Amino acid sequence: MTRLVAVSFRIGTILISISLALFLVSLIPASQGTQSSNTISSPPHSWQSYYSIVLSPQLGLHVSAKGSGAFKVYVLEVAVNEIYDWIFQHYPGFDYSNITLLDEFLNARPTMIARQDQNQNLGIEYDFIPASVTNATLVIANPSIDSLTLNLEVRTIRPFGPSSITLLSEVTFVIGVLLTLPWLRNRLGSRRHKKAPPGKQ
Amino acid sequence: MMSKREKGRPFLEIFASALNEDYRFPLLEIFAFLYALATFAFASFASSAIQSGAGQGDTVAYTLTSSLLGFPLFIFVILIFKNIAYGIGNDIEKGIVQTYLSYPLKRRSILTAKLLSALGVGLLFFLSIQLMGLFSLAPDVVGPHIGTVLLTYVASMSYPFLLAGIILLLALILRRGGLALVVGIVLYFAASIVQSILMFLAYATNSPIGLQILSVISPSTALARYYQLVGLPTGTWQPSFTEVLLYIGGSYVIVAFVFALAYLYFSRRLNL
Repeated sequence: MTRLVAVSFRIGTILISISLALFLVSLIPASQGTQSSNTISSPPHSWQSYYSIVLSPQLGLHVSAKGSGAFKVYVLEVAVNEIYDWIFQHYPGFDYSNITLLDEFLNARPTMIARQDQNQNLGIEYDFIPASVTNATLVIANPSIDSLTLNLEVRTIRPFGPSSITLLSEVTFVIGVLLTLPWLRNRLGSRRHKKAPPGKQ
Repeated sequence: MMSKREKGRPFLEIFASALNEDYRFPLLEIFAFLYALATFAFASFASSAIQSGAGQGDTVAYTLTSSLLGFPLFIFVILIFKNIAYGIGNDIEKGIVQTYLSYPLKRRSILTAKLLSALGVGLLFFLSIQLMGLFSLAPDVVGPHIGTVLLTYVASMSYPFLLAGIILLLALILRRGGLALVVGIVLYFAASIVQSILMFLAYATNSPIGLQILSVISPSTALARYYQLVGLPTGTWQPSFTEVLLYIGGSYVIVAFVFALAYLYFSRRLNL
């Protein structure tokens, strides 16, 4: 019984120290990840890939785009080289940056479109968090007959915030304290035992 | 004739005594704190677009697992070095092993009980916190790719185990724990420097021989090349998955050989 209480106490103190570490981690602000901010010019009737990365439910993308004319922003669940490979394979010798070829690619593989947005007057701004691990390529398309200039800001975000770590820390702490209680009770009991006068034991 | 239960009692007694010595209060609590802090603070999900032959989920699982392994693995290495060098080296120095030899146990069983506490419990503790961290940070990445996660651990643990074996051998031969511990730590850092030099040479000469030699004792290099996450030009050297498994297998054969030598020395040559 004493051994069981001692083991329970050690497990409890280990859990308390883990919970303290998690509490410290929860104080660290969520990382903003890599950031890319640029002004890009897009020729008429063209498209270009801007950013390619592997995303997961724990690593999302924040996209902010502002421009003068009409433009489209796609998040495609595909590696950028796959788009070029497909175009070079099906349309060899063509100008790969022509928006018609992008449309052909998207028509052939519509499931690759994770998100598609068209510019309103206020611009485009959103967070994209995929449901599973995936390649992601951010594509800018200019369907108009005029060139346009875009201010584009893309950064990775970590939706796994400190709140879930705090919860884990709290649960671990409570279990840890509960496991140390039998040992503490024994300890206090034996102290009282020692302090009590001989007749009152 | 002693029953199996009676035979197991001295083994458990040595094991319990080693546990008590290796993980005194609050040593385990301090290591738990450091493991948890490093595991959660250094987790990284970032991975550039996948170019390797491996699946994208596998690559992200590998990136995440190896990002958790940096500092916690160093803490684990310090813990097992301390346990082996001080736990076993000092027991020989102080003559405690002589008492153990009077137990009705074979010498190899005494060493097994000591190693089970020094290495086994430390490893169990390290992996529990790491896997708890992985599952709470990214269950949907880790769950479907648990094979990749475990392979990353197996590949990364080989070199610390090899050093642990060398330290054990040194502690037995020198009979001094402190010196064996210093040699182990020097070897650990020397390997990092050698790895950087070989990486530079592979980059400068476009020859993979240095990296292939390194992969025999540290197969995590081959695994990183398989996922193309070591900063070398594309096409320098990318082993196939079978080759990676062979490197891992080869490294564990070396580890087993070093431990077998230590067992042999402890059983037959160690005069106390």
